[in-house]
Amino acid sequence: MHISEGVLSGPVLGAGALAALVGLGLSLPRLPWRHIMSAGIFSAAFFVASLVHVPLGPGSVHLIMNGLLGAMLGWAAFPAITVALFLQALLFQFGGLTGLGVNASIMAWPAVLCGLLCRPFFARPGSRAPAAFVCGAMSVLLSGVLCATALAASGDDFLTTAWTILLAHLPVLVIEGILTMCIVGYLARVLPELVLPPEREAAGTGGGHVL
Amino acid sequence: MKNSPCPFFQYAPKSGARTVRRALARRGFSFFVLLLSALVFSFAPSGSVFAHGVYIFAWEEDGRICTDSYFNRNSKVRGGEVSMLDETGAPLMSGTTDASGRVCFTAPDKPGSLHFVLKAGQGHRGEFILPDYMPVPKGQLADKAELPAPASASLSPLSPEGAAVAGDPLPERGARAAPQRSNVAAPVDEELIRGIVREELRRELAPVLALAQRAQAMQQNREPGLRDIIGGLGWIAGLAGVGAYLAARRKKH
Repeated sequence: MHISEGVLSGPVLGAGALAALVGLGLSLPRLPWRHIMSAGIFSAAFFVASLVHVPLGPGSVHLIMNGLLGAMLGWAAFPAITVALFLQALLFQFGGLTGLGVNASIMAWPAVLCGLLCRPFFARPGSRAPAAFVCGAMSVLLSGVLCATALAASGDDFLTTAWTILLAHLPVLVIEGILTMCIVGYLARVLPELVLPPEREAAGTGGGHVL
Repeated sequence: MKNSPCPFFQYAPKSGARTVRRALARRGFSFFVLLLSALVFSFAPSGSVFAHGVYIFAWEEDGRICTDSYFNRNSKVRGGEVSMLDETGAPLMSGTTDASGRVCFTAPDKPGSLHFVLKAGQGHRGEFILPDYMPVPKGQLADKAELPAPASASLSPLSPEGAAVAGDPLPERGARAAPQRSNVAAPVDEELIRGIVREELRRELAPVLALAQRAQAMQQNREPGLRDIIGGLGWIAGLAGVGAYLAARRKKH
């Protein structure tokens, strides 16, 4: 889902960069100091996940894991994803630096939105697993739609591109939903401070969660 | 209870579920980090799972320029659009990759670097530069076809002369024929030898050339390796550390 350098037109690159800057501007003040290290750790997970290929169908797709970041970090997912994408562009030549804004917007905005929508449901054990699955799967789906939109705005046919991306990422969608469900479920048991919504966390044992 | 020989009994009533949960949390967290590093290392050596980038590589083959397009070693680009551009970026030719990720073009006649651009759909784009391409001189490809012609041409003056020598015992004529033959044959032979040597060299050097080009492709199309991954993780840890440091400083003041 990384769009390579030289594919998108100038206006699309500009719009993507602007959307990414807005996202960073909104999310950085909302990043509590004690979540910085956990944001770094999930950023590392996202950075590595793109290297894990799922050899399904004619091509091969890789994990994205933006839903997991949204579920675990909420707003903090934005800088975490942007940093990981920046390093992927720098070290792996995935995406490229000019497309960083577009790629960050494509992957981080759905993560943040799904995270904000689903995180309140993590408080109750009954709704936690379905909410986590939806968060993981929906983020990939929304990212695919945004990716197709960006390509369509640069001249590709939207429906064809969208279908190709959707079909290619259908297995990823399911896998990521399940992975997000498992990881959120596991971390809710062993590190509840990290998973539960802030108001529960603030009313908790005090001292907060320091990694 | 206080003097119990088993240390667990001493702590159990005091700490209760919270300590257990804390310990589990600490374990859980290190387990998570361990899982992450296990993921990196388990996928690292196999190589084929890496790379989401798309790569293209071009080489000369029998007077054609062929390209190979791949996502990684085991996954070829099918139906990708490949365009060949000259040094100035003007398009020369374009084609679509087959099932094995290949597409070949007729070689251009102008020397210079060739640029290749691959579009593999879904925003995948790869580039490759074949530097200092030298077209095969016009006559050379035809050399093979022409080879028998000069050979027979050089033979034809020989045979009537040979026959003449055999048929006509005149020493005068044989003496005259000998310098004449060398005069006629020498320039033809030189061209012929050049042609043959060039042809043979080209054939013999083809594997070496291919090897050099492949090395060049490896340099241009560098798939991410373990070093990049570990480096990236280090960068992220470092950046998070800097962020935590700054946040802690701000909190202190």
